[in-house]
Amino acid sequence: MDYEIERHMPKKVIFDFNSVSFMDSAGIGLLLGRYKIVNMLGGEVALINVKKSVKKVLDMCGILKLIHIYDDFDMRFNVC
Amino acid sequence: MNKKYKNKMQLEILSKSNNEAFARITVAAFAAQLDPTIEEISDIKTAVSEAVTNSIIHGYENKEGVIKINAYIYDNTLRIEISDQGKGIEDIEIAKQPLYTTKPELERSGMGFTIMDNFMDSLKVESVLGMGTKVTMEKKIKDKNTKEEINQEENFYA
Ligand SMILES: Nc1ncnc2c1ncn2[C@@H]1O[C@H](COP(=O)(O)OP(=O)(O)O)[C@@H](O)[C@H]1O
Ligand SMILES: [Mg+2]
Repeated sequence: MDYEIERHMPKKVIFDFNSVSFMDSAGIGLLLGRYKIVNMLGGEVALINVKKSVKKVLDMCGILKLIHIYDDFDMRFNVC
Repeated sequence: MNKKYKNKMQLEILSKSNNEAFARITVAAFAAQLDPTIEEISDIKTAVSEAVTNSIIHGYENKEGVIKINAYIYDNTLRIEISDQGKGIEDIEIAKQPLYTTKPELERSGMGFTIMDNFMDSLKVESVLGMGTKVTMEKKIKDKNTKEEINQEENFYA
């Protein structure tokens, strides 16, 4: 994943959390690691389809200040 | 809490990372008899995951060891004890600080104890260097019947 990110230097990396039904601090560490790389390359990280329980953990760890959650509306109308 | 418990479970697992999901799901299934909400179940799972993962990667540092998980039910409260006989924690107060981790190279976030503390009603950490660590957490499961009764009363007067 990191290799792909470095190769393409994307402006935006969007993770689809549709199949993520459980989150703990290990997941937070993983997300932060990807955030650091993308951010260093001048890009942005975002999440879509985040379940309520997953969001609670992300929120508690303050990660939503760095990584945004886009909803369906944002995706459809390309505002993100 | 020294009162007699209403129910108890005991689980021993080897410190393998694929046992973590087994442990959290087992405790959640045990807690189901308190009729928790989906949110309460999810909080419990996350807290168990944090404590068990800590025993695996910090306590035993991925070497083989035994992790013991005891859970008790007292009235409406779930009590969970998770212990290992791993390396122990030098300074518990520092370890509990948000973002503190001794393994930054593994992309740890240092948020494990903070999550346990926030998602449960109480958190107690006991540890002796070279002997092991025991984490005790409690969560009161809110009584839905009481809530329903209140609603009914509200309806009655409405
Ligand atoms: N069971 C344990 N055995 C030994 N050390 C532990 C244990 N649990 C936690 N620790 C120590 O406490 C620190 C903080 O734990 P935690 O808040 O879960 O963050 P993280 O797991 O991301 O490092 C760990 O980095 C480790 O040094
Ligand atoms: Mg941890």
